Amino acid sequence: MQDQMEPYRARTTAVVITTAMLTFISFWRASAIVLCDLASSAYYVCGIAEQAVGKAAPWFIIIVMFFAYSVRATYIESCGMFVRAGVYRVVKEAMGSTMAKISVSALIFDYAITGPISSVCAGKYLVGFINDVFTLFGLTHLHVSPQFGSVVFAILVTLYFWRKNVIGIEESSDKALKIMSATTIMVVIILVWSAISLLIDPKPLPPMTMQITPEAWGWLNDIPWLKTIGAVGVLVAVGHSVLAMSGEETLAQVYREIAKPKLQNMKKAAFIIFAFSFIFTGIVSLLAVMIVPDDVRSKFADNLISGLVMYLHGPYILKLVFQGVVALIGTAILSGALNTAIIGANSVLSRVAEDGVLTGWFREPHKRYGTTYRIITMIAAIQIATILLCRGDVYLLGEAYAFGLMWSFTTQTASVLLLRFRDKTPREWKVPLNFKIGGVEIPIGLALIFIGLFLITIANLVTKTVATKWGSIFTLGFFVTLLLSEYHNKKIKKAELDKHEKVNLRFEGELTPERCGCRHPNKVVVAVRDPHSLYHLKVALGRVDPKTTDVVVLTIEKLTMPTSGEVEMLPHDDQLLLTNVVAMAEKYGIHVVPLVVPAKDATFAMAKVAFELGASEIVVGKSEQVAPEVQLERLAIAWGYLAAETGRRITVRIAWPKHELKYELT
Amino acid sequence: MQLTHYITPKEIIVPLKGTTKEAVYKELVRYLADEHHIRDKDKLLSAILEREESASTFLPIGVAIPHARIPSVEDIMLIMGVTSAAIKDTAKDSAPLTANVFCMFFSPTEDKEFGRHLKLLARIAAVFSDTKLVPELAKLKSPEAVFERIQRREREMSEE
Repeated sequence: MQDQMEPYRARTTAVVITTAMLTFISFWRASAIVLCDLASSAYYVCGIAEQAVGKAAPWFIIIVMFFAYSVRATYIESCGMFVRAGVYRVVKEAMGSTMAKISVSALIFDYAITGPISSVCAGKYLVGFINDVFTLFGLTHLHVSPQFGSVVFAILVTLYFWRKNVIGIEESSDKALKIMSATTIMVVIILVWSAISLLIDPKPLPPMTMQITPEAWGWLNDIPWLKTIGAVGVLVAVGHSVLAMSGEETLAQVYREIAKPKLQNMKKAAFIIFAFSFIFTGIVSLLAVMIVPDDVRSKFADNLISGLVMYLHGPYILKLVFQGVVALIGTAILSGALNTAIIGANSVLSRVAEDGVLTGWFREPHKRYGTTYRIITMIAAIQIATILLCRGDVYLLGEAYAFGLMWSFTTQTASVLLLRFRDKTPREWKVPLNFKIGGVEIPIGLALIFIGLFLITIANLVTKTVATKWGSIFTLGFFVTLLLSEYHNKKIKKAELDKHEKVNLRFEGELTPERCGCRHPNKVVVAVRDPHSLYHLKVALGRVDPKTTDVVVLTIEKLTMPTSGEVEMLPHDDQLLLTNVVAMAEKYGIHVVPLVVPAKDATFAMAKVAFELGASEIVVGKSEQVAPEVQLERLAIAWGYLAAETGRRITVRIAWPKHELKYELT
Repeated sequence: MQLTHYITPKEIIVPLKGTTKEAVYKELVRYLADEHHIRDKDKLLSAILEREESASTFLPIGVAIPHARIPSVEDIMLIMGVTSAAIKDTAKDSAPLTANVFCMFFSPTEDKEFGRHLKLLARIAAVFSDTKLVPELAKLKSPEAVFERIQRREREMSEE
């Protein structure tokens, strides 16, 4: 008698699709990544702002922190609309491709500065502490040059985080979380110690009157009458303090990676970021100006928190030890800011590359780690060049800073505002203060944020001359590069292909949960075939608890997949399918395990994969060939055959719009 | 669920007379209708053929499970047929499979009964997952022997 089961008994092989794009993080991790950038500015912002606007700087920093809280609202709204809601996507939707490219180019300029300003500042804190220790032990001849030391340190730390990002974001977010935990402890100690010091020796609050230096007025020095208008002065002062909110834009970049429930977690992350940065950047700056005497504060312009610590009440040696802690944590958080800048720039440029603007060469994943290592390398190279050019001058970097940031905030908010009128699809969340007049919704809240941002941006444009000059040159250069790259892409007609998700493929000769990358005890197998018919995947992603369940997205490839050996590339149809699967996984913030299994009998293969992975549920869409009842019957037969000796049960769900069939099979 | 709960030796035909799929289906329907005193045999047969047209029920384990859900049935009705000469599947789109054992059944159309319908399909597949079973049954000459062998298989399964 002929053995008809032979092909069915063959070992299940699979092509496992690995990519860093499918990893999702908690709101704590997301907050930590953003805070590494946003809160790190506490280490340098007051020193820079005070040089421009005088002793009132902390008040302007506090104003900026409150304003940042309203700016975060525009990011929440845009993220609810687009998962990959960085400035490029949002501006492109509202204002077109050219404006989007300009906005991205400006933002990249700030990423090129964020990393260097953070790492150079970290170097300053570290060198300052080392020099203090040398002085304590009478080793003044070993004095390290703050400029040279900080440049060397900045380059080393850039190379370190370049490597970490090439390895993968999971590692990076883990680091950010550890850094922020340590920073929180340090901030609590600073607040408590400062409160005790102020109780023992009360000091007045800094004055609210700004004293803007001629240099800080920039080109407005040529229009003296403007300088007499108080509101203009306030705008200029806020403009010079606005780097305190640098890092807010990273919120949009990390949204893609935030786990389910995505928007709620985004809101939680945004609030944590606001609360932390307000206390750290705003309150600590205020305390520093109150506690560090006026005549010595300028010496600590580049490491003001160290200065604050050294003027607290307590034994010198204890303060020096704590200064060491501040320097070490500063080194970590500021280095984290550099890391976040790399992540942010990588994320922005990846979106640009996906759109066919950057050539596919940039998006090619690292063979081992699956990261966009070429983009990461390019960003790190730009940052190292900036570090070398600034030669350890934090004030110069601060003056060059916030050009792209402010333009990016402004164009992003303008776009969200425009989309309120152009795109009427329901929003998951809206910036508050919306009023209806004659059926037309007037977004007052959004409009006010936009006006605020626009005015500060203009104030910066005419006063921060270094930023305007260098920012414009860089933005123009980068914009031209993007244009040329896009032209090249169109010429070779690869743009369409490049829109597909870039992934790494790994052939597995034996299917086990570990080899597939499953992490949880529960598994749900979702079978997908048609890239445009993924309703059932949506249903599955909407129901699973990502903390306990893995979602294995299975494609059965009947024709073209090899059953052994190396796999270089997915068939074209599967690339589109995977791109859509990844987009949906991102929307829900759920880690999925995509598998391609070569098999002749799709139903049997589906059941076999579920059986071998120990899945508790199979979810399929409605077939175009047979009735859903017949699909269930086929699965029942396959499951009965496979689970004959074990008696294992499985739930089978067939879902299609407005319908669902669910049965348990034994 | 046990397969032998749905059949007795009286509901087993050994050997089947038909030599084609259609002839076997007719033979099984006729026998089942007589056993259950159902007049409209054509309705049963057309339900089976209609289901078979949407997707073949021949399995690569040497078993076919022609089945249908019909409104006039109150409980599952099952009939089994065994032949020593393998019957070829004539479905256009299916793989060239053959079967020596036929488990034909009808079940009610109510949604709440569909779970049992699926479990029976799974049970039949489970019982015949033992590759030695079909060749052994094909050699047996009486319904009692077939019934006994299936009973033994189910006992082994529950012991495992």
